[in-house]
Amino acid sequence: MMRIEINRSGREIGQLQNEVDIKRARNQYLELEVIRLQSPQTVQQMAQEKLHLRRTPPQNVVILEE
Amino acid sequence: MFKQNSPFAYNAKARMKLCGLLCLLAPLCIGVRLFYMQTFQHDELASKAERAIYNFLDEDRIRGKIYDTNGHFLAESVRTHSCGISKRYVKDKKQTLDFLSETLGVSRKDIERKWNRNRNFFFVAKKIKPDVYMDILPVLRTSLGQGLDLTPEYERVHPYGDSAIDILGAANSKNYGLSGIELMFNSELSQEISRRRAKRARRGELIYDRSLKEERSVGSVYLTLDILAQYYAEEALAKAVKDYEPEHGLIIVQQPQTGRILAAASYPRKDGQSLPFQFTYEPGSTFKTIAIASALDAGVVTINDPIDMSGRKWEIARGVVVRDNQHDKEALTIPEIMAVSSNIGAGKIALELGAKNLFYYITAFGFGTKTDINFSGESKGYVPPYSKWTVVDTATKGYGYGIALTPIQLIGAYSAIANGGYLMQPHLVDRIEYADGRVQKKADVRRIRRVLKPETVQTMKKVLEHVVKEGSGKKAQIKGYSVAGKTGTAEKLSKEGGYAKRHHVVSFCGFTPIDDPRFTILVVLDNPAKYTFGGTAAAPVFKEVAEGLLAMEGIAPDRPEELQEPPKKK
Repeated sequence: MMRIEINRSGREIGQLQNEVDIKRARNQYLELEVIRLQSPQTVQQMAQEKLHLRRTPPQNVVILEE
Repeated sequence: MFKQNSPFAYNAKARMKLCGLLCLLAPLCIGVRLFYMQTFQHDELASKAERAIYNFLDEDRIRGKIYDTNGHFLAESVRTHSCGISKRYVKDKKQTLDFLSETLGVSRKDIERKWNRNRNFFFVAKKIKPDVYMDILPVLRTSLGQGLDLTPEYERVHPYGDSAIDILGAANSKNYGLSGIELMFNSELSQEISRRRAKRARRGELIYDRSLKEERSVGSVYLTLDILAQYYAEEALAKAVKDYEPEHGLIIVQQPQTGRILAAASYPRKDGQSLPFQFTYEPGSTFKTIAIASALDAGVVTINDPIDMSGRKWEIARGVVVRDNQHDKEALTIPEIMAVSSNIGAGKIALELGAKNLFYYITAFGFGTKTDINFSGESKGYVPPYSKWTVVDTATKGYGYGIALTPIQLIGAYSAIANGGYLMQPHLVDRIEYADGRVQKKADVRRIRRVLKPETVQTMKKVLEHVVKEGSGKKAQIKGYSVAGKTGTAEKLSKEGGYAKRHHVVSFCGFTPIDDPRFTILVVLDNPAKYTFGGTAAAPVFKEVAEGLLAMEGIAPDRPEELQEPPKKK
C-alpha cells in the first residue's frame, strides 16, 4: 500500500513540478518579449515608421543640472 | 500394503508425522533461501532491481545570465521541451500522429518517416515553447498521450537578437557553453543542480523520484559592453557593409581612461568569432601615428622639422622606390605629413628613429603580444625582431607595412595618446556575481606602462586634430566637438607575391573630445568591393558612431563656437 502511495505521490509531484517549470518558462518568455520591444532596434524602427522621428544629433542634447 | 510386523503398518501417527515433515520441508527450504537472499545477497539484488526499474536522468544544469554594463541582460536560459514518442506504448498511432502534427506544426509525412525509420523512441520536435507545451500537457494524462515523452531542455535566448552574438557566443540545450563568453566563463556560468532518478509507469510516463543533489552557486557575468553603444556600432557597420561590400568589417569602441571595451562589432557576425580580437592585418597609414609619436618622444625630430620631399620620390634602397602622389610640396612638416598621409615623410622619420628604437616603441605600445583580454582565439599579431630588419623594413614600418596587428592592439595605442600616454589593460568583462552573494571583480583599471611623455601626447593630439580639420580625415568632423584621428588605406599582400593594388584595407582610428577623451573608436573595412579610401569610407562611420555615443552620454560640445551661425550680412 505504501509503495502504491509513494508511486502515486511521485507521479503527482513530477506533474506538478512540470507545470511549475512551464509556467515559469512562460513568464520568462513574456519578460523577454518586453525587453525585445524595448530594445534600441525596435524603438528606433517604431519611432521612424509610426511617428516619423529620427535620431537627434549630439549637439541638440542639453544636459540639465541635477 | 505393508507387512504385518512393519513399523508403518498400523501406526497412523507416524505416517502423519512423516507427512507433516514433508509438508514443512518445502516452506523450510523456501524460508532458508529467502533468509539467504535477504541477508547475504541483499545488496546485489537491490541494485539489480533498481537498475531494472529506475532510469537516472541526465544531470539538470542551471546557467547564469550575461549582462551588459548597465544590467540589461543579454543572454538567459529558458526551459523548453523536446517531444518524443515511444512507439511501444502508443495506443492509437493515427490519432496520436494527427494530434502531434496539428499541435506542433510538424508535417505528418515527416513524423511517419521517422516512425518507420526508428525502432522505438524518436524525437518529433525540439525547443517546444511553453504555450505549445500547455496544449500537450492535458493530453498526456489521457490514452491519446500514451507513449508521448516530453524531455525538459534549455534554450539560450538573446532578447536583443543577434546583437553582440560574436562576443557572447553560444550554449547548447544542455546549458553548456560552446563559444565566446559562454565558453570562456562556462564553469562560472553553469552548474549542475540536481540528478534525478525516475521510473516508467505502465503507460510509459515518467515518475520522478527524489533529487539527489541541490546546490546553487551559479554566477552571472557582467560585461563592459554597453548594449546601446553596441547597437550604434552594429548599425553603422551594417550601413558601411551595404555601401562598400567589404569582405570583413569591424568597429571597436574603448574608454581610453579605463581600457573598458564599450562596443565590439564584427561583419560577418558569427557567434564566438569577434574580429576586433581575432583579425590581424597590416594597418597602413593609421600606424604612422605610432611611428611619428615614437620619433617625437625619442627627440629625434621636432614638430616643425621640414622633411625633404624632393620630386615626391624616394629611393629607400636599390630598386625600392616610394612615391607621394597626393601632394606637390618639396618639404613637409610633421602635421603636413600626417594631414596628407605622406609615406615618404613617415618612412624617413622611421629611419631617423632607427630600427632598435622603433622596435622598442612598437613593443612598448603592446604590439606583438596578446592583450590578456583572454577572448578565445585572440591573436598576438606579428612584429619581427629588429635584428632581422633591413633599411627597407625599418622605413616601411614607418607607414604601417611589414607588421601585423589586431584591432584591440591598435585602439589601445591610440587610447594611450588620448589618455595622456598610458597603455591601459583592456577589459571586456566587468565582474561576476554569484547566487550566494559573492562578487568577483574583473575590470580593475590598470595602467600597464607609460609609453609617451605628456608633452609628446599634447603634440600628437594637435597633429591628429589637424588631420581631421585640414587633412584626409575631414569626413570624421563632428560639428561642435573636437576630433583627433588618422585615416589608413593599406594594400593587401597578393597571393602571387608583392602587394595587390585592388585589394586593400581601409580604416580610421580616432578619439573625441580631445581635451577629455571619452571614446576611442576604430573602424576597419577589409577589401571593399569598390576601391575607396579610409577618409572616404571609414571616417564617416567613425563620425556616425561617435555622434551616437556623444548623445548617449549627454556630452556637451567642447567647441560650441562651431555651432553658432555666422552673422548674416546686411
